[in-house]
Amino acid sequence: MNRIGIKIVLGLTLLVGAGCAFGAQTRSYADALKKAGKSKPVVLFCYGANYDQVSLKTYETFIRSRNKEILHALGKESWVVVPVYQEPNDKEKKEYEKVMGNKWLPGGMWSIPCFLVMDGAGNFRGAVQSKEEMESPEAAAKALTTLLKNFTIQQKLIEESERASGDNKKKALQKALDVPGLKVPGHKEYDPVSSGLVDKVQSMSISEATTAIRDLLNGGPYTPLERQMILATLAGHVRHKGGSPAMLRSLYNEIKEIDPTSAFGIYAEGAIKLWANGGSSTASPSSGGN
Amino acid sequence: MSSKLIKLIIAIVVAVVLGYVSYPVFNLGGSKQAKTVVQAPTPSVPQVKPQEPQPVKPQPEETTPTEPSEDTTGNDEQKGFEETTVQEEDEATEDGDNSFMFSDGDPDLRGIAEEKDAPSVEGQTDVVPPAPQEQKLRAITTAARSLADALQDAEKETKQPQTPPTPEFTEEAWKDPVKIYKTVADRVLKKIGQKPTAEDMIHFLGDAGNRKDVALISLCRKAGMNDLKELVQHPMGARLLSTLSADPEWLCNTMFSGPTDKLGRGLRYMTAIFSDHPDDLMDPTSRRIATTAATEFAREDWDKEGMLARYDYYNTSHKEGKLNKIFDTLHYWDTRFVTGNREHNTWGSPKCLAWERDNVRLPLERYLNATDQLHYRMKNAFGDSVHGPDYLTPVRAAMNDIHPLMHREIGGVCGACSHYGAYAALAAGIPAMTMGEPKHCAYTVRVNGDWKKGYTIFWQHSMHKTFWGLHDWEFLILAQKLYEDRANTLVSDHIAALADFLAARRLTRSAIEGFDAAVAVQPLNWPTWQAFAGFLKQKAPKDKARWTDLCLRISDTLAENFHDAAATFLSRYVYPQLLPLVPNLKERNKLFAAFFDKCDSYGVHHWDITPLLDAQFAGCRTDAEKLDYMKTALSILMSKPDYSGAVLAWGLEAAARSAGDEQRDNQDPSPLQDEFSKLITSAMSHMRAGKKDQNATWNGLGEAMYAAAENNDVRTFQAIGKLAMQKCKKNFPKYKLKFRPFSGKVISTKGLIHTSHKLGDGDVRNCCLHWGVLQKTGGSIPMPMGGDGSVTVKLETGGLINGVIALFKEPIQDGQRFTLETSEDGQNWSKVASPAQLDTSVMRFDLQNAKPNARYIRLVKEGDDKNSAVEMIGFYVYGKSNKSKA
Repeated sequence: MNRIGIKIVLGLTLLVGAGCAFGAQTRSYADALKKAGKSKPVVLFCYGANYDQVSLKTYETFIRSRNKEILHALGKESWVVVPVYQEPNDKEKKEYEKVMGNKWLPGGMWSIPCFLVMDGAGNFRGAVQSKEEMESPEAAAKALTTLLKNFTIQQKLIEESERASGDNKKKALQKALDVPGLKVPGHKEYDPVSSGLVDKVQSMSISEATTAIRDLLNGGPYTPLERQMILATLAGHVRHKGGSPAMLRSLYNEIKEIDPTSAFGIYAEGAIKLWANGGSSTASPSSGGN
Repeated sequence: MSSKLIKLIIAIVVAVVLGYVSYPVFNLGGSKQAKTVVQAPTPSVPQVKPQEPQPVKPQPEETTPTEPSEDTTGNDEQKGFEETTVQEEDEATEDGDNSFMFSDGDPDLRGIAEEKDAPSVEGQTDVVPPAPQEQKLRAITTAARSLADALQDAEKETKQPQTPPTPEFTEEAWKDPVKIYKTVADRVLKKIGQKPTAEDMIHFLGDAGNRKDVALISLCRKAGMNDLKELVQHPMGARLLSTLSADPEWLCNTMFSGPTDKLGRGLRYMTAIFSDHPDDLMDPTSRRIATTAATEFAREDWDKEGMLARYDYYNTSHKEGKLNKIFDTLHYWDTRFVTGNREHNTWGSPKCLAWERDNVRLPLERYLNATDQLHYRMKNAFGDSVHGPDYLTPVRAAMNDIHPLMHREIGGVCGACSHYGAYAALAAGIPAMTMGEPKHCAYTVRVNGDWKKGYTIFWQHSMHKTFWGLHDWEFLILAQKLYEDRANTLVSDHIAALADFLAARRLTRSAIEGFDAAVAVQPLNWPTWQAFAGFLKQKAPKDKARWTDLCLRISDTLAENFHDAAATFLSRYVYPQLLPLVPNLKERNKLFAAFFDKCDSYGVHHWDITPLLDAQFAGCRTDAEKLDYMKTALSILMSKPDYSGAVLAWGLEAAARSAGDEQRDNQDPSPLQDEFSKLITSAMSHMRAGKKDQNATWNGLGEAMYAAAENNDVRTFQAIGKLAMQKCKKNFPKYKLKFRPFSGKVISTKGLIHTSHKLGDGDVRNCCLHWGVLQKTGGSIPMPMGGDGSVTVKLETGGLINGVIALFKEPIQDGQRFTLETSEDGQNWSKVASPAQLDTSVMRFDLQNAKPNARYIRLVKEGDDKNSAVEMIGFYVYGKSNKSKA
């Protein structure tokens, strides 16, 4: 092979290599979904394209400069850059439509810029969007890597549950729900407040409520947050009924152990200090009233 | 040296040492004081020696009331300035926004405090000029609008950064603010002439230097000399005033971009900001943030520390590029909504704002859906009520008391949800605010110049941030439209400021011409209308022609689009003066009609017409006058669907009120009530009451009832129902309804019933039958059979429910699923556990075990059988009302 031939081969190899590294990026969400197939995630990088300097800076640092950590975190998954416009003009509307078609971003998106993780069916599954997660490429890459890794685990469990039946189905689904940071499509969220559980236990004794709530928990499957909230209902009931501090402490610890870093884990930790050591109530008024 | 000369020298020395040679009276700012004239001198160097600006505390002084000296020659130059400082403050110069909320009939007199050295006008007969002819007004408006155009062009040209202007008044010169005021005031008077006309004023304001002088005079008058003297003791205070007074744009934005109440304190706050951040003094955005935060915190009586924190938050966020680009497009007036947001200790604290800024970053429109991030929970999962102390307590410390974070994780109700949405927008620098609704909290975000509502249920909005202390939605829109029309408003504000100054100089005729011109060029200028009415009340309280003119001009201009604002102005400021001067009923009704003619619909927003009707009615002395007024009001308003229900309800109540409590207790209609009923029938049919007009009456009442149901207005709904029964009894069915009741009383009879079924015109005309459904004789209302279709009953007051019975004209087919839901607020609904017991056409819900406490009861049809309805003829809620418990 002559020199020119070698150069051509090397050049092609580099191009293919580069293509592999960036090849997972698609121009539109529809293409990404198609490329991802049923079991793979699609990542949307959303940024405010005409109103937000933080977004533009993040886009520049994370995406346009092809940040290594971000690209590594995205790996071979399909991903799309979504420009989000404020009060868009016709041209901007077209830009958005070119990427997202007629689809609007999911309700789970709480803040922009962000990475949204969708599944092949277009369900919103999780997001990297808090200030702490998005403030540097390193932090975002770390959070995204974890989320995508968890996605793979969860997706397998979901598919396992789809194939299984009876207790095995339930067990697989429970495991899927336990995967942190991701939603399971089709799982109807259980809220003890809107379902009426909190009101219902009021007329029960502590032991009746304990039985009812333990039965409910056994009936699952539930997400960790749902389990915490169901236990919170019991803990609240025990406190209002003047149950023993030991019992309260045990319940708060149970809530905490499910996920100590979650809001309910934090609540339980605070509640132990306030109420499980013999206290009854605080005097500081709550705000945010009606 | 003669003893006389010695005495004179001593007097001069004493005067100089004590420094009480001061420029007499204008608005002294600061706290409200009794109207006294201080004979003892006030030192020019205040005894308070602030290292940094502090709020002024009233200084106790020995005061001896004395008459202000007057010079009737009208020659200021000859008279000079008296050596007395008058510690007088017009009551209205206190001018906090809230004063308008509670002052009935008192117009705003802000700013119009006369200067005691100004010539007296007493004895002159031509003080108040006649109202300007239309032609003259048109000419003035044209001239003023040309000036506005010129201003707009000039503003475009000065968009480019310019070198800082050289100050006419240096920091050193500002050490004597009285001298500066005198210099500028003399200059203005010299240039504008002795008796300037409106045309002279407009011509005068064509010069940029003159406009700056007017703004500077306004600043001195609004801040007050005491505050200015104190301010300049601080090095940054003098520097601020020197820089501010040299920059026409900044000065103009400070003085003419919204209310300037308590400006003295506002300037002290600004001084505090620039003392901490001297480099920001020359930065245009920092100036905007500082000026708006300082003036808003000052007029709201909020503390300096909170203001400094607010400034730091927005200034730093802006410098770090963390605000939405909208913030860069804001003017001073709309920046006030942002930097002056309420809740500065909680949702608006820097830490809460920073959290929302960093964690709820959204494009503008999406802030209206930000509430979706919170779970509506009256009780949290631990069973603690949001109204109790424990809802958030365990997470407070760990979450650093960051309200949006705590509520997003634990839950909240409408207050938390609305604050979350509004403050997320505010944190990004976008104008937004929360607003109260009956037992509910909603919010609004400004999107592309329009205030869009979020989380709203009712039409009654009480805005949590106001410019003029008036909380109705319409006043927010009025402020938006007023300041949006920047050029005309600027001209109007300058003319009004000049008029205010001329009024203080006792050039009454010129001042009134100025006010006339100011509201002509900008009829939306609410504060100028108020100032104008206040001045007229002082100078021409009995001038019928002038008050008539004011009434008609308001009706012609402001009322064109802003019915609520115009009605508020008329009923608070015009009618109390005008109506006693117009004994002729026809003439009076003609004046009222001038306003009503503008109100074909609600206009900008649904508003409550009752206070206006009350104000007009208050001018009637005899029953004949009252009836005559009612006849006029009804004949006009009953033909306007938006107002027909409200005028009916008002009329019934006004008639009952007039009849006196005794007769009301007997429940026998008084002669006046009888007459009024006839009037209603007459007005409804546009003919004399009679049997043949019953159809028109029935149809009109039906339309009014439909409006009342749509408005969720129980009182009007009931009033119309009773009237319909009285006048059109034959139209109601005479069912002999038989069913097994529940224990307790029927508590739905005095309520309101509403169907979600879409009603055609014919259905609307029969709406009085809806009322019948709640009565024992029965009526008719369509029960929709489509998915989520419902019939809702709002009880007069809430109560404990034992059971509900719904009766249908035809038997309901088996397999149809109905559910009953109850609610305390009409927003959050709970399904009752009991299933419907259906026996052909009688449906029962037994709630005797659950006994829910509810104000709203809703029967919902499940399924997809769309667009059809069955006829419900009775709906009865049994239980014990909270009213009887009370």
